[in-house]
Amino acid sequence: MSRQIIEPLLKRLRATTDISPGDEQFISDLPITTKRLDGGEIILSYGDRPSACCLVIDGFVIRSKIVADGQRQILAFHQPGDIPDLQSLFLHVLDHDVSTLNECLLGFIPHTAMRELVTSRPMIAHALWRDTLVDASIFREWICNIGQRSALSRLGHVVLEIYKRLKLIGRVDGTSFYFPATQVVFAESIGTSVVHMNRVVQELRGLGILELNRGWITILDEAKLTAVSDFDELYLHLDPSL
Amino acid sequence: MRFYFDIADDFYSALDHEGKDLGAVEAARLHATDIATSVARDVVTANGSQVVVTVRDETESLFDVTLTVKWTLHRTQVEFLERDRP
Repeated sequence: MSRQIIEPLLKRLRATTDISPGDEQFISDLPITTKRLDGGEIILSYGDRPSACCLVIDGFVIRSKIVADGQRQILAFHQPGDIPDLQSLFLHVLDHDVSTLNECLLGFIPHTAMRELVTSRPMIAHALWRDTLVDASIFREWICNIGQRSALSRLGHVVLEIYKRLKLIGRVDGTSFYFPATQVVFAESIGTSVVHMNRVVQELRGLGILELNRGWITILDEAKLTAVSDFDELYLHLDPSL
Repeated sequence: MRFYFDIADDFYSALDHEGKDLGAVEAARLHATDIATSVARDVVTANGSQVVVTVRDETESLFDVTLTVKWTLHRTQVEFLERDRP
């Protein structure tokens, strides 16, 4: 299996966990089937019973849920190296939807191979367990975000989260990065209307803090953005030595 | 039916370029109210006092939903200043 396919995952695990070169070899030897999808395509839907885990190799993936009145709530954004449906290894029926944000290269790893891997390599099991705990920590932060913060802080918070996580895998250029979410998608992630989101974008631009431009996000003043967003990166647990 | 919801408040105005498919004018009215209340939270906490949501369809402007904050003092402002003094 080509090393490039697995590299974003290894990069992240290397930075955030204690996996050894031996563990890395086992991960690299996983049988992975790749698939290319366009933006806005469904990977898995509510009620599905997947038999493989989906690894994001390139592009961004969204986890979301449709609520009663047909409105979509985005639950999480996933980047290269993430396994958005890792839970399907133990929770067999999917309780939300997984779809692509933009054109994606995805890798599918059979559950049987994942199970063998975590049984034979305890440090990998620990690393993936840690991954699901960080996932839960991010969900806790999103509850605080949507439940308590102003729309401006919510957007700033989500942007900083994406920025910090992309930085970990070397996908930022200074304080600019590519994240092609439309205002509709951002609105669905922070629980506002699109026009309210539009207002927030104007406000952040007016304050000289943040610029959104055709899929490129530039943080103009990181200190100010961190302050107005009530952002503290602890919940991302990026540093395993802490 | 596709409806568009533009907003204007004490600080910003924003045009809705996306719009939203809703079954009826009544649904658009409810959605406009929803937008107005959510924007109002941001506006009022920044000491603004009004949000106007203008609802359009593909061809024309239909109605406004206006939310205004009204303060009614039961004591004089001087009394409040004295209370807040540390």
